[in-house]
Amino acid sequence: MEQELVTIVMSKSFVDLSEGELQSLSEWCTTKEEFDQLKMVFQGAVNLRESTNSEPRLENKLALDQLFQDTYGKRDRSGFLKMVYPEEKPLMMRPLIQVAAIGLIALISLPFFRTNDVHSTLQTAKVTTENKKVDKTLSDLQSDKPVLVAKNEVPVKANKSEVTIESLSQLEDTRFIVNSDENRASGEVFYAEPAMTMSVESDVQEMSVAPVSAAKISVDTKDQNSHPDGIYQGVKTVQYAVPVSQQGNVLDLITASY
Amino acid sequence: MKLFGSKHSDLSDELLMQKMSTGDKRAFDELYNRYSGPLHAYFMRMLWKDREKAEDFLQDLFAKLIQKPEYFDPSRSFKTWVYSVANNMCKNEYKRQEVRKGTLNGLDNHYSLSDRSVNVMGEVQDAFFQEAFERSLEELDQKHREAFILRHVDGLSIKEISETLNANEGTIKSRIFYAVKYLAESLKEFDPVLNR
Repeated sequence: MEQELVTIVMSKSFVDLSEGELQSLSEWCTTKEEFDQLKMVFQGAVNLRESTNSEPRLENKLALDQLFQDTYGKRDRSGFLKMVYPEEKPLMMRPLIQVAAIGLIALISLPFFRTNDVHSTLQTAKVTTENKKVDKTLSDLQSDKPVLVAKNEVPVKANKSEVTIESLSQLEDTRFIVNSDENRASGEVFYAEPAMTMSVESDVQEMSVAPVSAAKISVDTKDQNSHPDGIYQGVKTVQYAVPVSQQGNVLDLITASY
Repeated sequence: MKLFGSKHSDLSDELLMQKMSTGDKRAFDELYNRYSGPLHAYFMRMLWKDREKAEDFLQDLFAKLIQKPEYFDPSRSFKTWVYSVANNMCKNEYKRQEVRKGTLNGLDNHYSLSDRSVNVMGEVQDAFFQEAFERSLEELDQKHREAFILRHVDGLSIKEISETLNANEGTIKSRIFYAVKYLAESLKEFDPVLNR
């Protein structure tokens, strides 16, 4: 019998039944007497349910808890594993998972830190290269070797030079970009007489910086696309100050006499 | 499994059973909370309201769950499975009682009188009615009685009962119909109870 029919039988008397309800109950009862007997049966079932609706004793549960401990305690994992991976805790609350997550984050972010390290190493290498080449003098510039010379600037010794400067006075200014990775120097030479500018590019075996007759020395180095990812690494400019007294072509107003 | 915590009270019986079989104590506690009361009551009804026996049977049943969780077939409903286990335990007890005492279903003829004597002092009519009802219920064949109790006392659906008793739904409906008719016929002398 459907639960709805049981509810109808339990909540209504026979005279209150509608035609539809009588129709539904026709299989079970057709007369008032049968309806009342049906009501008694369900009432007896309710009474039986209520009279037996008791909870088991607490001792039962305790005994079962002990049995559970005895049964699954044997299968218990090692203490360390239980500590780092306690199954009773939520997944993200287990220490092993947390440590693994931190490790994963560190692994993912490592390439970013590595990029910074490479950048700074590159810069340090360039500075070192520049510093150890500062032992060249003007005499080197005036030798027969094909040399690119910058007035007041960095003399660059090259083995395959396309331009030879005969006189230092011809040079007004020079800007070189030295690619230390490819041993190439490129830049522009500015002539005073005649006024002209020449682009220069040369292979470089050795380069030097000589603070001999310069008010200042500057070396621009640009590492063009040397990074594998094409990251721009900036321009390094090194400037050396030279005392005026050591500069032959600068008028010293303090000591000059007319 | 939920990432930030799983409430065992939200899990299905079948999942709890699986968790329990891996040693999850909270899963066992949840299953016990859900079924200890209904099963205890079921044992009480099926075992002549013998509270001690019901306690023992309940403990035996949960001990089986703990020790032999692999007996549970995950493809089945846990509820119907556990009721079928309980029902089989009752059947075994009936057989034991028959052998021991030589009475039908092992029923002790004096058990119910002592249990219900308290009610005699109260509403006599209701007590007599209830006594007659339960006596009639005991007189029923076991397969009719268990079908009636599971349906109208424990509230299982026809489908659940058919799975529990391993019989088709038509058979279960027929058994329940027969049980209701038999009880109704046996109780027709108790008219005064009707109008309460």
